[in-house]
Amino acid sequence: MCERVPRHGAQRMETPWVDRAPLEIVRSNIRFSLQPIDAPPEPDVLNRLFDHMQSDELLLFSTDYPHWQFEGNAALPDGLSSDLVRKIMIDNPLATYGRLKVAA
Amino acid sequence: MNIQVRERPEAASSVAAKAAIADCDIHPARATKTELYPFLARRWHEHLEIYDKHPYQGMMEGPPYPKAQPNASRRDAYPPEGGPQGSSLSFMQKQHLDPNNVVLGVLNPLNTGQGIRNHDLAAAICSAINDWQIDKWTGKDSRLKGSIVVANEDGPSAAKEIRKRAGDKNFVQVLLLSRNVEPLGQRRYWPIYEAAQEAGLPVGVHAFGFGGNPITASGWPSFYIEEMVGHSQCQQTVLASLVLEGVFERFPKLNMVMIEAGFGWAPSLAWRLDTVWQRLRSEVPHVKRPPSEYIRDHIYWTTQPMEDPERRDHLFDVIEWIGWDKLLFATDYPHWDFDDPSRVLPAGVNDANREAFYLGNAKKVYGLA
Repeated sequence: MCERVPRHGAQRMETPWVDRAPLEIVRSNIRFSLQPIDAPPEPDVLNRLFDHMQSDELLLFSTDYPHWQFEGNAALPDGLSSDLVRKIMIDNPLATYGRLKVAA
Repeated sequence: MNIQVRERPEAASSVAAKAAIADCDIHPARATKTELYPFLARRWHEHLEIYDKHPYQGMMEGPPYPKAQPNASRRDAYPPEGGPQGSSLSFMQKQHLDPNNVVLGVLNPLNTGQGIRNHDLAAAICSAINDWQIDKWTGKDSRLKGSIVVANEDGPSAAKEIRKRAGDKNFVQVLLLSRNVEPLGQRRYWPIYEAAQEAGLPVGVHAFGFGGNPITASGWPSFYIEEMVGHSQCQQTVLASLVLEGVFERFPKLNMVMIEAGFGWAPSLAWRLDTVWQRLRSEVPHVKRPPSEYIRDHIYWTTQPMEDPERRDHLFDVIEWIGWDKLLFATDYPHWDFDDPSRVLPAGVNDANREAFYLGNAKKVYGLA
C-alpha cells in the first residue's frame, strides 16, 4: 500500500498537510504486531519481504494468546536472523512503549 | 490538478515503446448524452428523460469523490472536434494507438447500465453499449476489442447478454466492476461466470462500481487520494470472495482479469489466505486446494497503475511471486493516471518476459494467440 500512495504525488494538493512520502511516515510513526503473520512458508521469501520493508524496526512480537491463531511453540516464523529476532522481541517493543524499562 | 503528458522527442523513446503492445484498459466515452439512443428502444429514451436512472448509490454519474481532472482524464486528451476525452476514435488513434504501436486495445466502458436498480433498464443500456462498441469502435478499427457489459445484479439477464455475444469476435471479455451489491464470489453472480466459461471468455473486474458500499472496509474516507488507494481493498475482497465461495471449483475453465487495482498486494493476500485455509478449511470444504493455487491458475492482472517501489529488485520480486505470465500491460487511456509504455518496465527484464508483459500474455488470455 505504501508503494501506491506516493505514486499519487500528483494528488498532493488535496492533502497538503501530508508533507512527506507516506512510506516515510509509516516507517517513522507506525509499528505492526507480528501475529497473525501473513508470511510465505519459505524463509528466503520471508527475508525478501523484510528487505522490502527497508527497516528492521517495524515489527513488535505478539502471540494473540489465548486465541486460536497461537498454537504450539512456533511463535516466530523460521529463518529469521538472531539480530532480527532481538529487534522484534526486545528492542522494538522497548522503543515503542516508552514506559517499559528493562530491569538492570 | 493539471497533469499533462509532455511531448518527447523521438530519440527519448526506447525500443520497447515502438515494439507492438497490447493495452488492456482503454476507456471509450460517448460524445453526447444521446449517442446511445440509436441502440436503445424508444421506450427507454422516454424512460431516461422522464425518470432517469435510479442507482444503488447516489452520485452515480458524478463520482463520489470530485476529481480535479475533468472525467478523471488527461487535459491533453480532448478531441479537437469537441466532446469528452476518449470520445473520438480518430483522435484516440492519433494520440495513443498509432504512436504507442498498440496492436490490441481492450475497451472497458465504465458508465454503462451497471448499478441501476431497474434491471430491465440496466440490461437495455448494457446491450446498447455493446452494440455501440461495435458500431463506433471495434467495427472501425480491428486493433480494438470490446468488453461485454452486463446488468451485473441480474444474473440470468446478464447470462443472456453474454450468450447473445458469445461467438462475436468483436468482444474478448465480459466486464464487471469491483464494487457491487455483494462480493463477487456470491451465487447471485454465478450465472455470469457460467455463461462466460461456456463462451470461453475471461471475466474482467475493473476498479469502481456502483453497489452502494464504501470503498474501504471501515467506512467512507474523506479524500479522493484515499479512493485511489482503496481500489486495491475492494479488489482484495472480490478475490477472496471468488476463491472462498468456490467459483473456480464450480467453473474450472474460468479466467479472470483484475483491472486497475494494482498487483503488489496479491502475494501477501495469497499467503494469508493459505495460512487461514490450513486451519479453517472445514468451514469451506468446497475449497479443495490452497487459495494461492486458484489465484495462480485463474487470475491475470493489468499493470496500470504500475507498482513503483523505491528499488527495482523489489518490483521484480513481486512479479516473480505472481508470475511473468500473469501480467497484462495497460495504460488507462485517456485517464490522468496514464502509464507510458516506454517507461513502465525498468531495465533488466529479459526479452521473453518483456514480450509476455507487453503483448503475449494478453493474446493468450484473450484468445488471440
